[in-house]
Amino acid sequence: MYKALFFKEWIKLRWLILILIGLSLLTFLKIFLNISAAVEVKGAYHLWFVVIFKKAVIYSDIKYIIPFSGIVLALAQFVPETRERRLRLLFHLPVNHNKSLFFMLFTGFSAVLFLIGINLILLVWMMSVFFPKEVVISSIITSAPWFVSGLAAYLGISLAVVEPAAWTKVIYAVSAFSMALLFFEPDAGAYSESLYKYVIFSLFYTFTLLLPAFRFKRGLN
Amino acid sequence: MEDVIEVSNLIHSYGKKKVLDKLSFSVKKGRIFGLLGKNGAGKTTTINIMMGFLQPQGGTCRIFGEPSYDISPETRKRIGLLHETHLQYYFMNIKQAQKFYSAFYPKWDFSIFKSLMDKLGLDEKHKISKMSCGQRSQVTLALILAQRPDLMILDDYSLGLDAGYRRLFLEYLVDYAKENQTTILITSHIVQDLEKFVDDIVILDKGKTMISSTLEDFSRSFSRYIVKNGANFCQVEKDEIIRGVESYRDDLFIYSFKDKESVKSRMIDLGFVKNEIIPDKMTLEDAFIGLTGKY
Repeated sequence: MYKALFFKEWIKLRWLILILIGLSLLTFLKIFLNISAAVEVKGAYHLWFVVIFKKAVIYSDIKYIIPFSGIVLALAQFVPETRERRLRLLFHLPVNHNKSLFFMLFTGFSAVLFLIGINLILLVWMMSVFFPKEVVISSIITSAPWFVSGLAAYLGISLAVVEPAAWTKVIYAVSAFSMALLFFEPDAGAYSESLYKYVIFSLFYTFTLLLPAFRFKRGLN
Repeated sequence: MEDVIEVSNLIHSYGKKKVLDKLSFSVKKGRIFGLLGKNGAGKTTTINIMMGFLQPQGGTCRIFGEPSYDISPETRKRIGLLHETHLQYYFMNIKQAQKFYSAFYPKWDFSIFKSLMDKLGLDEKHKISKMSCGQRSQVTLALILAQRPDLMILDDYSLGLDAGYRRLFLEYLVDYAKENQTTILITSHIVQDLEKFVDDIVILDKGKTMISSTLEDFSRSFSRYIVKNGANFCQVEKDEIIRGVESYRDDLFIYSFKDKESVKSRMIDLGFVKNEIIPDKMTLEDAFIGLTGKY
């Protein structure tokens, strides 16, 4: 049964995941070419000076990839499940309702993690071409909150889409957006001490999904 | 005989509008049960309550002995549900939908699904979102029949179906129900279809049970009488004897559970007519309209 549930999510998300991987590749290609051009024109010394001493974030183009991915994955997963009260289809399946809902969430969450993994690999590879290990580690720490914001965006938008009441939807969407904004402090290494707190807070959204689902099942709007 | 569905004193409102007002009925195992009512009578609300998608404001509902708001997954395996407007996963194609649903129902019979899809004549990779309303209905009904459920709840099964497929489906359904002792609760706006195969009926009116009977008993006890050239008397009020009044061109139609003499006597008492009252044959649809009114 869980294989079938995964199959359903796969049908909805497979092409979108490919597109988002393509988007990531193109973005990193652009950054790579920019850095290569900078080395070519101004020399590697200038680049190192700007990155290490001025703490410039030369890969900031990737900032919005994962949050954007989280939002579109959530929409692609849950809009087809909730339009015209289609959650009734899911809740009539002979599977525990909470388990089926969590499984859907787990699948989408895993897709976001997968995209984060792809972006992380590309970031590490790209930075390793031009910079020493210390700068590569710094880039991971700087970009980590952007990746976490993607998880928050996915969970928050999922909650907003599943919520049956229109005004509550808006409140959830605004709160998800506000949460995601917290992660966009531009300075390098800005969240190195506090990131784990934001991760825990983002994961809180996971359980809140049960509330609108419960209310939908009981016809309580 | 076991009660598969037990509905007792259901009450529900949407805001100030009362939709269900102490509705009660039961559906016995192996019976085909028609739930009839005009638009807004409460049919879909009743089905949503039965399937646990709506919490009633009062009353109880049990399915296979379990409370409807908490039907176990094991019991849901036994229920084939056709949602209002034939809801389906639009992003799937025919093959994907079959593969998906078959994983949940241990009694799944692919040959049933295939034989009905062969009649549809679409490629198995045809997306449900690209089908007409009638084609989607055919796919959804085939998915339900392939489950081989013990209980089928079909909310407005006829949506989008042409006359040919409706007849095919009903013949299939009746044979299937007889062979498997399946219990069926069905609603439809095409009442004359149901006449051929339902065993029991409930007619809802303003959320209340207007009629709850076997179809045979209802057909035997409910009659229609024509009053020739009696259309001028269409303002006669309904009561215990005169349950429905209709006029068409010059004639008046009186609907009643009483015999001809009782109806004639009542019409004379009311001072409305001394014309001849003639018993008239009617279909279930005529009876339904006679009881509930055209609008």
